This record gives sequence, structure tokens and C-alpha cells, in this order.
Amino acid sequence: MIHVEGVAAKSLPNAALRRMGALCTNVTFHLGKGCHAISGGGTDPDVARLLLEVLAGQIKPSRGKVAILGYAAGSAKATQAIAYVDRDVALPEDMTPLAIAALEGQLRGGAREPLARLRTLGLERFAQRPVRTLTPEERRSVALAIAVTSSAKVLLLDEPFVRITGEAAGRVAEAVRAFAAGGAERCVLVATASQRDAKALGAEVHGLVNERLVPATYGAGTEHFVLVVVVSDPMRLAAAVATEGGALTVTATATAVEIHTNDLVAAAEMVARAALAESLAVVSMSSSGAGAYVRDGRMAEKTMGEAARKLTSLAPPPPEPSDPSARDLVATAQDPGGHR
Amino acid sequence: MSALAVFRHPLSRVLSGRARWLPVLAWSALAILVAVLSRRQDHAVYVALSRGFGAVSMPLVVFAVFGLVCPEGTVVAAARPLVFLGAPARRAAVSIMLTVAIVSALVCAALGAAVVAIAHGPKDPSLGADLLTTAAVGALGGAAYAGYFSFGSAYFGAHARGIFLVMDVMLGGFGVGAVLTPRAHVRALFGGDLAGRLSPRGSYVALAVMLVLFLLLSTLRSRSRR
Repeated sequence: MIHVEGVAAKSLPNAALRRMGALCTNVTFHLGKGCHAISGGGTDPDVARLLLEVLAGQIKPSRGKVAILGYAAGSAKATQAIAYVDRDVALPEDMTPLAIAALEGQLRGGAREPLARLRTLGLERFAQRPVRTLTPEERRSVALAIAVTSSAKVLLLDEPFVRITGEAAGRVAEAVRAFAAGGAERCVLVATASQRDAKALGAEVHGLVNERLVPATYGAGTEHFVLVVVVSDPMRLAAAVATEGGALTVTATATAVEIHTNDLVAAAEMVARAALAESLAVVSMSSSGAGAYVRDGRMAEKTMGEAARKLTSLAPPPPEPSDPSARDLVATAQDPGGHR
Repeated sequence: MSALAVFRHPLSRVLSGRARWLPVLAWSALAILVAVLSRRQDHAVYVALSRGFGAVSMPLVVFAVFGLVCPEGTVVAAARPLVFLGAPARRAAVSIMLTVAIVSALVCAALGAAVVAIAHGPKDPSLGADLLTTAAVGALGGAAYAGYFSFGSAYFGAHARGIFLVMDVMLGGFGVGAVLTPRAHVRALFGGDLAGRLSPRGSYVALAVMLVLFLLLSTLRSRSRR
């Protein structure tokens, strides 16, 4: 039902909406009917959100193909078939929720009674109040109620349990499951940082690994490292690393690249190769493991130290981090013998 | 899908505007004031239309109507609620732009007729014909300005509306620029200097072409995603 092939897209940081920029360079996945969630350790929430916006037709990918139910994303047919509730959903402010539900029925088709739709999430008490008098939580709850009771075939939800009323939070899981089970061609895709929320929705949980959706298997016993590289051009390094593959997720911020990986040695070598190829100035590299057992710890230190020495320029090392689990590998590079 | 259902959202903004109508009323009051003051002059209607309504109030009234229907600043942003409810993006944008154009046309037609009625003096042409002509020019000019501002915001962002207003004032007085903005054509139709080498009938056609062209280009842009 949802087909994404070789998609490259980006979103810019937005301080007003409190979101970091996100970048994907070659995302490919296919989803059938049912309820799916992009979640799991290592999945960047901003990248998940970016994918939802691409599917909803709000962001045009610079490369690749996106098809929903056979229609191109952003087309008129796709817009009718998709209900997307993002974190900053816009509703007609001068209309009441009851009138909006009725309007949605006229625009998208569907004969369900408007008040009954609001009652699904316990919102009937302010059905007659103009939207501009509602709080942001109430507005988002109204949008959710309309979306989960609509005749849309695909439901895209960004953190459906966040910023909604308490009553709606208690009913949204059941409503989403009812939507997913409502017809032969129904698909729900949820972006959430909480695997608990994903499981509450009865969703099949996927993680975003190397820009592919894979079953989320992170949990106890899985080694998982975060490599933070402070670099002169984080976006370029992130693009180069993402292209190479090997990382679980790659996230670029204003000053650094954060790489989630199960293989620290491979990630360090990958960063070194990419930085040399792109002639990037790396200021520092540091890593942390979330309490996981580290195999070949000294091998990892040595490799990363060698990788750091290979790089053309290194600024003086940053101060020793207070967190004992974080290892500063610039210091390792200076002292490869491990006398510290 | 009901074809007219998409208009419920922009119309709700027009009908529930209340305080957002104040700028429209303020600029309309300015036109009325100029009409009252011009009664002392010969050819009072010409003075009221060319120096008050056409030169100042009409563009500012349409500017305010655009802000009433699109407080977000752009047609695409104003259409977002409709897209969430399942309306295709292009159809949603067209409903917003048509609402701006129709409301602008109606307000400017009524305002132009009111200015003529107030300023009319013994040396002016017959009232009946003048009312109809002015209302027609007001409607066409108002709709053309609506298309002009829609085009500006569609291609250059929310703040471009103000820049396009300034451009209309600066370019609309002389040279080739006079042909590209509604100002010179509206002035010509109210009895002022001709726009470029066009006759008054040519200015009618130019305003109609501007309206259609600007709305069409804005519609094409509404499909673009960021």
C-alpha cells in the first residue's frame, strides 16, 4: 500500500516548532495493510517525521518515488486517501468541531454522524465551540478524532499520544486499532519514540536501519553505541556516512554528527574514510555505550585512535566528560598505549 | 465531494472575521472621507475616485481582505486545514483565492458606488451611469489586486504582499511598470492618465488578463511542496 523507493529528502530546523533538521538520502521500504510503527532504539524521531511528511505530500523528495495505494504522493487522489495528523495540525479556526467533522465527510466522503465521530475520543463536550477557543491539546484531539473515524485509507500519525486531552489519550489506541481493522485496504503508519505506545496501538514495530525499515529487535543484550563526531560540515559527513551504510541511524545537528551503530569499530573506520574523502575537519570523536557489554573494547579504542590520527586536522581535545561511560577518543589518539 | 464544500472554510473566516474587518472598514472610511471633502471641488467624483478610492483605498482594502481570508500570509498556508480534511491542494488553494477575489470585488464595487454617490455634484456625469461604471471598475480592479497579491505571496512568501503593495505604488505611475500593476489601469478607467499607450478599453482587458493570469500562476504554485 505504501511504497517508498530511493527517496532523498530533507527538512530544515525550525526553532518555533522545536524540531531539528532531518535528512534522508536513500530510503526504501514497502508497507502493506495493518498498523505499523516507526520506533525502536536508534530511530531518529525527526527522520521518522520527515518520512511521514513525504508520504503526506507536504515535502517533495529531491529523488526517488513515493506511491500510496498506487497514487503519487501529493496528488489529489493520494490527498483524499490519506489522513495525516502531525504535531502542528491546522484546523479551520472559525468553525466548530461538529462543522469540521461534517465538512470532512463532504470532502472525503463517508456518512458517519459528526457527533458520533467526536464521541469516539470523548470530545463531544466542546463540539459546538469554535476551534479558536480550544487549547492546542483539544485541537489535536479533534483532529485525531476526525482522522481515525474518516473514510481515508491510510492514516499517518506523529506521536498520537502526545499533546492530546486525557480522555482522548485513553481511547485513541482502541480507535486506531478499529481504523486499521476497518477495511481490507487500510494502513496505519505511526511515528513514535515510545515502543510502549507502538505496542499499545497493536502496531508492528520497525526501526529505521541504514534507511531501511527492519523489525525492531533492540533491547537487553543488544550492543548499541553512539558515536558523536564534531565536524566542520556535519551535513556532508552525515550524507557520506549514510551513503556508505553500516550505521543504524545517522543524525546531523548544527555542529556534530551522531551515529548509532552496533559496530563501533566499523563506524569509526567509516567516519575516517568519509572525512578523508570529503576533506572535512573533524574536531573530535567520542562514543558512549548505554551500559552494554563492549566486546574487544581495547580493539575499538585502538581502531578509533588510528582513525583519529589519519584525519588531516584535529582541534585540541575537548574537556574530559563527566560521564564515566563516555570515552574521549581524541585523548586515546594522543595516548594510544592506553596509559590513561 | 461537493464542489462548493471547499468554500466553507474561507467563507467562515469572512463571516466570523469581526475584528479582522477593522482594517477594511478603516480604509473604506478614508475613501468616504475623501469623497466628502472633494464635494467642494469641480469634478468632485473624478477627484474622489482618482485621489482617494483608486489611488489609496482600493489597494489597501484588498490588502486587508487578503489578510482577512489568509491571516497566515500565503494561500498555501491558509489552505492547509482543507488539505488535512481531504481536499486536493490545488482545489483548496483555488477556493481561498476565489474567495479573496470575490470579496474584494464586492467590497470595492460597493465602496466605489458609495464614493460616487457621496461626491456627485452638478458638474459630474449622470449619477446612474456613473454608479454602474464605477462599480464595474471597482469590482474588476479589486479582483485584479486580489490576484496580484495572491501571486506575490505564492511566489515570494508571506511578506511579499507588502513588497508588492509598494511596487504597485512605485511602478504604477510611469513607464513600462505602469502596464504590469493594476494601479495605472484603475487610474485610467477613473478618468486619469492612460496606462502606457492603452485606451480605456485596453485597460479593462489588461485588468481582466491580470486577474486570470495571476490567479492561474498562483494556482500552479499551490501544487509545489516545500
